[in-house]
Amino acid sequence: MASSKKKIVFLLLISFELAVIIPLGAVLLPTQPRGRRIAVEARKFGYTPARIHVNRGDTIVLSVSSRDVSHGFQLDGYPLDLIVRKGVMFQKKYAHPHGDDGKEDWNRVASVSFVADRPGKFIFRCTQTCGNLHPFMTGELIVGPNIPYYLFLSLSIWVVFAALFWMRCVPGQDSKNRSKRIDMLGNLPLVKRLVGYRGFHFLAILPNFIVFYLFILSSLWGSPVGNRNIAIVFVWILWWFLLKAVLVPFGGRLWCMMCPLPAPAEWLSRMRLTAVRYVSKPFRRLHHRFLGLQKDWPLRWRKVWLQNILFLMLISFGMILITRPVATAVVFIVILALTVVLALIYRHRVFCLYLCPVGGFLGTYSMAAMTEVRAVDPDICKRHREKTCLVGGPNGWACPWNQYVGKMNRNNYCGLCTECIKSCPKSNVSIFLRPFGSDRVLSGYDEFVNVNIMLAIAIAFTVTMLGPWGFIKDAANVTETRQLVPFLLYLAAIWSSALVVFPALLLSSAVLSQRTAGRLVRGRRFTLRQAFILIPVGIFAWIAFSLPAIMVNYGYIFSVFSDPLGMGWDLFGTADMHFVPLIPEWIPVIQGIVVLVGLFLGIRGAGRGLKSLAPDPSILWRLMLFPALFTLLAVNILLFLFMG
Amino acid sequence: MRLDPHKNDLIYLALLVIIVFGLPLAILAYDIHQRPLAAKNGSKEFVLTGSVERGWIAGEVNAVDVLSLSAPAQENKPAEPLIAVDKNDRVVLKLRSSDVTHGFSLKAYGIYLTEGIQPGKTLYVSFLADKAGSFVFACNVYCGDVHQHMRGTLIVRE
Repeated sequence: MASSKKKIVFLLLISFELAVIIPLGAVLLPTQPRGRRIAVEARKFGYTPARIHVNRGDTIVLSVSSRDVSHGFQLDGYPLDLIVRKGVMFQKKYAHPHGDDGKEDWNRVASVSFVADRPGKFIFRCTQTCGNLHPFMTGELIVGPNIPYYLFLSLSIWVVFAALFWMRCVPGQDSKNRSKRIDMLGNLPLVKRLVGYRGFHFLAILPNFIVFYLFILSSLWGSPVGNRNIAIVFVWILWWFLLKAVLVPFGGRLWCMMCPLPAPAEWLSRMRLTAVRYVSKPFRRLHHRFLGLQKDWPLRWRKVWLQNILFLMLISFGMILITRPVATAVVFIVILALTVVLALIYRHRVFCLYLCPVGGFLGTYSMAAMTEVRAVDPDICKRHREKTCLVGGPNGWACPWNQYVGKMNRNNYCGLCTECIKSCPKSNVSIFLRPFGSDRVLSGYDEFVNVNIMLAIAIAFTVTMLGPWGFIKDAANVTETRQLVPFLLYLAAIWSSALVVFPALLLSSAVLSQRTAGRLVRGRRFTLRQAFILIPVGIFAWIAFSLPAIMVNYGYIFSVFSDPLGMGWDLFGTADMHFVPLIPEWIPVIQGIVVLVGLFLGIRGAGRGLKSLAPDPSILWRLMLFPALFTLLAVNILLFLFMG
Repeated sequence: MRLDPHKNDLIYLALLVIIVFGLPLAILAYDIHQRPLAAKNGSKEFVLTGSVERGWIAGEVNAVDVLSLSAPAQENKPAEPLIAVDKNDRVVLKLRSSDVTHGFSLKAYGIYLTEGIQPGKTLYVSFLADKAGSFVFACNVYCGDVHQHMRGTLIVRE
């Protein structure tokens, strides 16, 4: 056994070396450096040509012109910074390589020349606020042979091979053991006291309540320019990145715990901010009387289907939403109003559970998260007849998410509000830290479609927002271009790929795998576990998508921090912070690593989820083969968009 | 020791009320405080905001105004505002942009901004209106279709 394991590791190492060496061989391809004269025209919101292909060693003589307003041209990885206006081009003089002396020196030039000395993809960006979509105005310089891209392409194939090979050869035991989790409240008495405090939830919401209130004020009366308005910069650059890269992978629905949008509705329906109103005689099961009609949400809507559709509706206008402050205000105000209306009709957080466009994917993605709220000992729950966590008690409200902790084995519908920790008279509920990707069973086709939607939209947003294609941005930017046909085509592409193409491909690859694996491994149970592959892949695809927004635009965070409403303030002396992207030439490589990690975790996680149903390794790896290949395809679309 | 949650609720409620009313008031107060008070030293202040769709707009343009500004193209005539002052007034122009980089020129007084008016930034132009008459001010950074019509009139009364 030990020697065969050694052989497997040896084979994996050899194949890894091959996967690295073969693409690096492209260095040996003969290249003849030559001079190239390239004329680029900038317009709102793109460059022509959008993608410039050159070879390594070429000397490029570049002239940039503008067809409309003032634009910039800043090339990642090169000290090249231009401002172009109609008929004139200015180049920034880098006289002081270490820091500014506060003054910028610009020279009028006819053209600039530089040698493309490194292979890879380098993005050039607009630096002059040129309109609504300015932050997304980019173009690409591809210096061939594009070795980093070939390397990651080859590595992605290797990751799939290695993961499946390992699955086939190393049986391993069913890793659904509970010993790997760490009881946070049992080990940290201070945290236990904090979470046990009745005002804890309120105090977690309060900072976000203040900040989101400021966002609403600012998105109505602040600057109309998106990258000068704190609502846009903080919500769609900072919050989005933190949500995708920190809160979801580590905390799951941790955001739902501190989200201020449904808070006023909850305070209103409870008629309390922190305290509990307990009635000993239960009213329709619960020991509380809420303000309003107190109906129950219809059973057939207790799925994420509505959230899937509402998320797609919201992101159909995604480009407008993240560039117009007033659109962000409208969304916040509509959500606030909806939560109040729904809280007065229904019990529980029905908006968060079944309607919130963000809540749907937070639920499915929280399955992989490293935090969970669970019963310490489920047997105690089984014996405890009152089920205080579900119906409420004198020390805590009935679970607003309508969950019974004793049987809860997935994170999907748990908002981490910590009421059950307070209400449980047996102190049997705790917060646990656990390995990434621990809940592995999707409950239905609503979640199956949800993970497909999320991956498809990650790709669609990468094309629209990070891609160099101006005509796609125009199509998405319908309120400015006022051209309905391209917008409808754009919507058709997004909706059909998210609701039809991706789910159909995953479903057929799952079924195909089941056919090749044998007769006993068929059906919905297997399909739903195979689909888990898209949860880690999706989370990491979204992290890779959000990375450039923060690494390129972080300067806006500092400048709006000092001038939140774009009124000309300078609270902390950072209002005039320059637009200096952080190591932008490395962004494609970092994105490549991130999606490969997701690919590996996806295959591994789905394999582990299937293990209890198909313990035989030779069946198991076949079950994962075609879903893994489908995911490889999706990952390669992303790799091409990031690096190719 | 146990804090009485009902008593706490009142404190927290007071906190919420303070935030809801205090935040807008604090914003207004700080904005008035940090603004160079032109009116104090007897000068006349005007706000001009550049817009790609409407040319010069008299006054500030807030995020919510975008809804009315992006009306259909037929009604989209340049605003061409009028500023009237008396001779020997000190005039302060607060220049803003609601979208892209604009410029400002008032040839009759030899004012020709070399740096653009960046969105989210404020530029001040100050001069003594010592010539009577009617003068045209314009934008001197090409800003799109409306650029040629991005004008306004300064009237200096005797």
